[in-house]
Amino acid sequence: MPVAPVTKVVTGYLRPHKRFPSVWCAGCGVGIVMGAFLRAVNSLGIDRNKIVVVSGIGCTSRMPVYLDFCGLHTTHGRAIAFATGIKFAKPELTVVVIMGDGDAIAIGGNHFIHAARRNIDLTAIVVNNETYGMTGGQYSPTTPQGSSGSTARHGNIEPPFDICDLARASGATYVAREAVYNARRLETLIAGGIKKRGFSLIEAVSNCYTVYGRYNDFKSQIDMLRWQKEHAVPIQSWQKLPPEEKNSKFSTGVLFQKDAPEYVDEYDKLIERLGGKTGGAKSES
Amino acid sequence: MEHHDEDTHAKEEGGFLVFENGKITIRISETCCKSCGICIEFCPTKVLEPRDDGFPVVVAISKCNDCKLCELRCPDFAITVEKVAD
Repeated sequence: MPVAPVTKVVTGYLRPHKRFPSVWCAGCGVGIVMGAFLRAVNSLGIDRNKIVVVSGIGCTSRMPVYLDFCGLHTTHGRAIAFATGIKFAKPELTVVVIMGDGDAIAIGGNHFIHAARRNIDLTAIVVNNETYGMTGGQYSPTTPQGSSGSTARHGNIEPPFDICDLARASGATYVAREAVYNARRLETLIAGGIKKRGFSLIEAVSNCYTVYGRYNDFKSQIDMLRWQKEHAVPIQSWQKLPPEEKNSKFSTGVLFQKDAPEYVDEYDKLIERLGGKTGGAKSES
Repeated sequence: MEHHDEDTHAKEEGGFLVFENGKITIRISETCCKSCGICIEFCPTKVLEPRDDGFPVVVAISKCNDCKLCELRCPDFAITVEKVAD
């Protein structure tokens, strides 16, 4: 059987009236994440009318604009709050939240940790380019210590968040990370996150040459992907590395997985226990 | 390009540059491609090379093994590789 051409799969999910090329800079990883996400949706065979893509503000958050799904382009940092509302009202929908690192971990940090703590069935894809790309390269909570930005010209003195550690500590039931360089593996991890019931977090390590790269002596967008190729280590191999190498590289793959009660299910149980009609929103739809 | 395989045929078709040799067809979108160079750099068999303006062109289609890494990594969905059924 002939394999379906990859791009035909992807373009089938794009809004036909949208003008291409996309708004993103040449070589930006956001486009690679978009491709991986669409191939993941296709591999799971999800009906495009049963999926909602929610985003906030930032380069990454432009994504739902191009996607022929139900979508919500919301305010900065609040994507998860809107997504929580959607999931609660229509639990039968697949809700995917696509955010940048600033959107998810800085401005929306509280929404992020509490959605993970509640374990509501959302899939959060955080595209981590380690900077505020859209607004000019200010350092973000994921900018590595010692790296530069437009607001850290002499080097960032703050230690960064590890998004995956943060999600795991907060209660997420599926935590994965992959570099955009490994596009095929990223696709598999996103599919795994969507399939997993509960709060799933997929960190896509991306590249922002336009601002981050230039402040940090990368020669091109290619140079940044080459860096990913050299520093992304599958979790099984990463665990065997000596401590000093662990710090200079980053682990990829499914980093953590557990089973825990899901929030909407628990809410339904509460209603049932109190003698009410469960799944009110479900039965009305 | 002077490096073209003898069996490579390039033509323009509906906004795409199309390269084919009867076994593989590679299409590159002239509207979507931003000439970032990812496909050229990370092609394991070095099928592509940049034109003077950076736009990727196929120079050795016979080396293409249909791995589709260029297609998977293209941030702009601008390149497709298709194996022609034999």
